[in-house]
Amino acid sequence: MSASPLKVIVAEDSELQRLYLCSLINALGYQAIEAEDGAAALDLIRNTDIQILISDIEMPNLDGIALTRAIRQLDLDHYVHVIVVTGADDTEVREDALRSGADDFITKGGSTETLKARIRAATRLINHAKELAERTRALKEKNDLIEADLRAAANAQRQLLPDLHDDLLGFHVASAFAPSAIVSGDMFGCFEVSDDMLGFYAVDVSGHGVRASLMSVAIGHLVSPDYFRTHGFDDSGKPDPAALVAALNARFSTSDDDDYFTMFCGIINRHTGQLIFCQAGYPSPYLVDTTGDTLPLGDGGMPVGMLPFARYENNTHTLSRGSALVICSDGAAEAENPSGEPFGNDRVRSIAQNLSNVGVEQVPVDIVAALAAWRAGPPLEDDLTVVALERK
Amino acid sequence: MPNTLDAVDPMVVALCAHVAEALPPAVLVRFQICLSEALTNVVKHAGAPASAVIDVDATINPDAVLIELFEAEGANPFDPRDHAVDLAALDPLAESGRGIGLILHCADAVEYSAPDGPARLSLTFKRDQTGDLE
Amino acid sequence: MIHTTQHPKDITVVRPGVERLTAVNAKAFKDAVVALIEDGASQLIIDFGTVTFVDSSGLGALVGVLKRVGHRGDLVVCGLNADVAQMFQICRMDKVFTVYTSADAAVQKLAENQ
Repeated sequence: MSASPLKVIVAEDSELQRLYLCSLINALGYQAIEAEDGAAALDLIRNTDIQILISDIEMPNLDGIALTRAIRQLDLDHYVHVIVVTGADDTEVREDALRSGADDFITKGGSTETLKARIRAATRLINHAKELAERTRALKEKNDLIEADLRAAANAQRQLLPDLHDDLLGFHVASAFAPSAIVSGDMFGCFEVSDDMLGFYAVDVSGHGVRASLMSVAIGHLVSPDYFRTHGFDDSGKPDPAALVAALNARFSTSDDDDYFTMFCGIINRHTGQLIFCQAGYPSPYLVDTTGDTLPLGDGGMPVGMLPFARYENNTHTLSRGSALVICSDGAAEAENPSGEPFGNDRVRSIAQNLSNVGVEQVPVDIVAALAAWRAGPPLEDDLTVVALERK
Repeated sequence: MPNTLDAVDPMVVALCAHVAEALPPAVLVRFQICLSEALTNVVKHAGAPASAVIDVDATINPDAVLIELFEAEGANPFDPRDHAVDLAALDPLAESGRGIGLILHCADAVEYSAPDGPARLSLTFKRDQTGDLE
Repeated sequence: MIHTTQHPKDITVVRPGVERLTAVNAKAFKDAVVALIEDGASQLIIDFGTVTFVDSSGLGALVGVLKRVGHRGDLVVCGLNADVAQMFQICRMDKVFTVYTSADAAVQKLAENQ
């Protein structure tokens, strides 16, 4: 037994019987607490954390059956083991007691061995419940720690994502980001890679959660302006985003896991508006001109990190002044409404189309709002990134 | 209580607590000795199975405390008065045989009856005395 | 069940380790002390300091132990509370056993007697 003996309530109106039971129980190494009737026992159950009750059936002020029923209706945060004392042949009384919620029986005047065994069985159950509660508590503590870590990671990740509402080299850039879980597998960036060239990319790591997030953070750190400068141009100095994507593919194909990501990567000349881009499985961005004409760019391409021998190609398009590029992750088109219908590319496209009316700042906001309305309650199942980039 | 030796001590402790207020301390000492011996005797000599039940009744009357032990059903009748032993005459180095003498010595009155039902041993302890029975 | 403490001059103090030395445990007590004697203990002090009650079986066990010690050694008792002392008295056991108030007193006396 541990330092303080486990307490047992003995509810019995006959003083002699009660003293006898208490004396037996104390001799077993427990501490018997006397209750002279059912009401007194119920008071004790309410006001202490004692978990074992041995109760007589016939008592004034609440009999054993009513006492058991009352205990089962209490909202306690622990279980009370009720052992009822009955006559040897009181089958009906025992059935009544069972129906009212009793756990076990001892026979009046029965052997002390039986009493010992019954109390030990109750003690085992209490200890077992204690262990379970302790384990649950430990798990919850760990889970809380993990969630706190995740939130810290999410913060770190959020700081890595640029909040783009800026003019860069004569381009106006705006963005919106909505993670589906605490951490996200989306990453994007936009920066000057030379005096004339703006580089940008968007990445969507397959799956979401911690693994995807770790990979997206790795990509975010890796793909810097320097990385653009060293991998995003050919020997003659001409932008070559396909080379950059190929370099990433070489790097991420070597790992043994099946993680991969889709990417859209472009380099645009501030003077000519010439955009050279490489699409690697990322949804086609929309090119929106001042008249509202909307054109999806690219025709697919292989995701990055899936096949070591995948080939990536450059495509070229020119952005006239006033036209814009709207890049949107597949979290938008694939988002389903409550009846299971996906939001679809056409809806994304029609919001993008409106850019010349509402302005570049408004488009990411509108897409996020339209999707929230579409979902009608539940959060997005995939991360959502929207980047709009207008050549002024 | 069950017809086993391990139930005797708890029952004696309970009985003592039950009558503690009713008996003067000096009588309570004799009471404890007497009940301990009587219950042990009932269990040991009754020859009834361990599952048999011995009923114990305690009545506190104005002048005396009355304890009634109802032997287990099927027990061999055993009237302690037929086996009286003078404690003073007993061999001091005897290892057993004092129990009956103690029952008779420590109670103020001992009665035994074995009607058709279970045999009954009743022990009376007067409440108004202070000294020993010497 | 019993606890023992060894003292110089082969004196052993035995505490029964039960509150009530009665029919239910008297035989186990006797067997345990007899085992001590068979292992060579001869100067025995039974300390009843933590015992609240002794019945006739407990006394019988004590007499049995005394007879086992016989002339080879000594067996005394100590620490009797009022109830236990009265039991000894009623059964004339106070004439059979030397009674000391405490274990210390008994140890000292046994040591002097040797």
